[in-house]
Parts: sequence; structure tokens; C-alpha cells
Amino acid sequence: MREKKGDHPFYPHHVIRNAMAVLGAIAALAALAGWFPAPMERVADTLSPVPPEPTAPMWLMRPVWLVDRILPSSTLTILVFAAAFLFCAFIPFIDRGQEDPSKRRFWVAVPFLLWMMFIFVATWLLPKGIFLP
Amino acid sequence: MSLATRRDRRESKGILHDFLEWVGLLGFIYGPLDRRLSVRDALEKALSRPIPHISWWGCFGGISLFLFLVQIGTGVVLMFFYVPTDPEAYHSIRYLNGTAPFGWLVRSTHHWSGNGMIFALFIHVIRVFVTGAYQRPRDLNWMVGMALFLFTLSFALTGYLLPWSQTAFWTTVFWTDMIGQIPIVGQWLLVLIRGGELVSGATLTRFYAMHVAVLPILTIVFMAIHFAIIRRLGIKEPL
Ligand code: HEM
Repeated sequence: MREKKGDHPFYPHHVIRNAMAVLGAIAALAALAGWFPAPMERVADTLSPVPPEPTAPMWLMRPVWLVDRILPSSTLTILVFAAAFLFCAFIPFIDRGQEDPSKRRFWVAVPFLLWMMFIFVATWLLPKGIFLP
Repeated sequence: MSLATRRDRRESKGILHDFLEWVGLLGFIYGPLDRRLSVRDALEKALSRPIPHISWWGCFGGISLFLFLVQIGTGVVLMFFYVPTDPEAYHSIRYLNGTAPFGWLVRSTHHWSGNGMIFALFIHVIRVFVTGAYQRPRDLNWMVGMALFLFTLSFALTGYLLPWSQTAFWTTVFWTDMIGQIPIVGQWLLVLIRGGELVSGATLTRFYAMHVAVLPILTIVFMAIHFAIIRRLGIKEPL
């Protein structure tokens, strides 16, 4: 690897900086764990056919829940998420970065960044009040 | 007799001395093991390797890796207490949370580190995209990364059921129902994932096996490939 301005040797510079970051991260995790411990809820009621009380889905499912509310059928919902995943996976084949990069990049970037924005807003910013099913 | 062996004979200071050097591990750097394996050369080369300066955005892949290592450490401790059956699963988590010394700390760290890993990955993917690092020749690594992303989501979804609590159970019902809506293969997939028509103890057993055995192995293998490719191609310069 060629050396450039701003490069620094792995040892000791990088090792020390890494060690400081790791210690900081461990402290942050311990603080989160201490102030916001993982919730301990009621045991699952497996006999009831629907949730017996308002039950919020796991945060990861919030975008799915939202799209499912908007679209008329769950089949469409799951197809939307599958299509979005496939689109993201094949981005390198759509924008190969050779012929006329700027235009291709634009048409890949718009849907990708919009989708990421939607996931971000739906997952982390949406207000409470989402309940199953 | 090869040159190395002859030199080794000459430099040997007796059986006990050699043996102590081996077990004392110093032999790896200065003693007989270094003469066989050239460890010191390799170490010096690796330790003085120049590291390019990268911005904070470039650290999120490494942060994901760090959090994954925390997940392994805390996860193994959790396995000493967790019972993967219905309804003992819930009671074992209750015990861990309330009675076992520092059980709450280990469990909550696993919880936050897991959630944090998904968040870090989210930023990692955006930074890779924005720097255009998905393009050739890194297209292969983008695909490997996509597999890692799927594995990480699967970690979250399988792990979430394990406490066998109300949200755990109904979230699993929700997303597996969704899988059942896939045309043609949906019902078959649903039964495969649940281990039957309904979410039950069989689902718990399946998710546990995925969470602690299948997914960790897959993830570690794919991470090794991911990092090998990065070592080979280097980090892409910002556009
Ligand atoms: C468990 C998951 C993952 C881990 C631990 C991980 C780790 C890393 C690390 C440490 C780097 C070095 C640079 C950096 O940190 O930004 C990197 C680069 C890269 N990652 Fe990941 N990654 C993961 C998932 C992903 C995903 C989901 C994608 C994309 C879909 C991806 C695509 C890439 C690409 C293309 C590079 C090369 C970037 C460049 O050369 O500039 N990775 N990854």
C-alpha cells in the first residue's frame, strides 16, 4: 500500500487510537445497558388467536407494518420489500461506474436514498401507537 | 541436513532451555520457533503497515465488527442460562434478569449491541453507497455485504423470539404470516420457518439453532471473505 500524507503506522498509532475507541464504545454500551435495560415483558399468550392486549411489534418491523397498512394486500407488501432488497443487491450491476457514470448514478441514487430515508424515518422517527396485527 | 536445521542444532542451548522458550511463547519471536516460521519478520511487517487516514464515516464497518464481537462474548454467557423450550425460555430469562449476578447487564448489553449493530450497518451501507464503493472491482464485496446484511437481520428476528414474551411471540407471528403471503412458495416457507402451521415450541427450537449455530458460522465465513477483499483492493478514495 502506498504511503501518503495522513497515513500512520499500524503500531503504535493505530492500535492506541483503536483501543481508545473500543474502550469508549464499551463504556457507551454499559451506560445504555444500565440506564435503559432490556425490557422484561409478560410471558407469551400462545393460546389466544389474536394479541390479547395492544402489542407493539419489534422496531425492526415498523417499516413493514407501515407499508402493510398502506397497501391493499400483504402479498404486495412482501413483494415491495423483496423488490427493494433485490434492487439494492444488484446496484453494482445497474451502475457499473464506467460508461457515462453521472446519469446512471443519479437513477440509482434517487430510489436508493429515498428508500433508505423511508426505512430510517419509519424505524427510528415515527411516533408510537403502532400495534399488532 | 537443511541449512535451517543445521543452524537450529548449532543455536540450541539444551532441551530444557528450548522447551521453556517454546512454552514461554518468547520462542515465537526470538527463539527456535522464529527460526522455523519467521514470525518476527511477519510481525514487524504487519505492525508497521501504513494505515490510510479515514474519516469517521469510514469507521462504521469496523464498528459493526466490534459490536458483532460483543454479541459473541455476551451471547455465550447468555447460553449458560437460557433454556430454549416453551415456557421455560421465559422463566430462564426472568431468572437471568433478576437473580443471576450481573445477568441483567449481560442481557442488556447483548440487546443494545445487537440493535446498535443494525444501526451501524445502516450507516455503513450509506457511506459505501455515497462514496461509490459498490462499483467494479468492489461489486463482489457489495454482494457479500448484502448477504451479511441478511444474516444480521436474521440474527435480530430469530433472537427476538427467544425470550418468549408477548411482543416476541406476536412479532414473530406477524412477520412469518407475511412470509406466508409470498405467491406460490409462501405457505411452504411459512411451515419451514415455523416448524408447523403455527408459531410454537418447534419455532423456538428452530430459531435457537439458527441464532446460536447456523447464523454465527455463516456470518464469520462471509466476514472473512469481506475483509479479505478489502485487504486486497484497499478502501476506495472518496469521490
Ligand atoms: C456484518 C456486516 C458488515 C461488516 C462487519 C462490514 C465491515 C466492513 C469494514 C470494516 C469495511 C472497511 C471500511 C469501512 O468500515 O467502511 C467494509 C467495507 C466495505 N463494505 Fe462492509 N461490512 C458489513 C456489511 C456490509 C454491507 C451490508 C455492505 C453493502 C451492501 C457492505 C459493503 C462494503 C463494501 C463495498 C466495502 C468496500 C468499501 C471501500 O472499499 O471503500 N458491507 N466493510
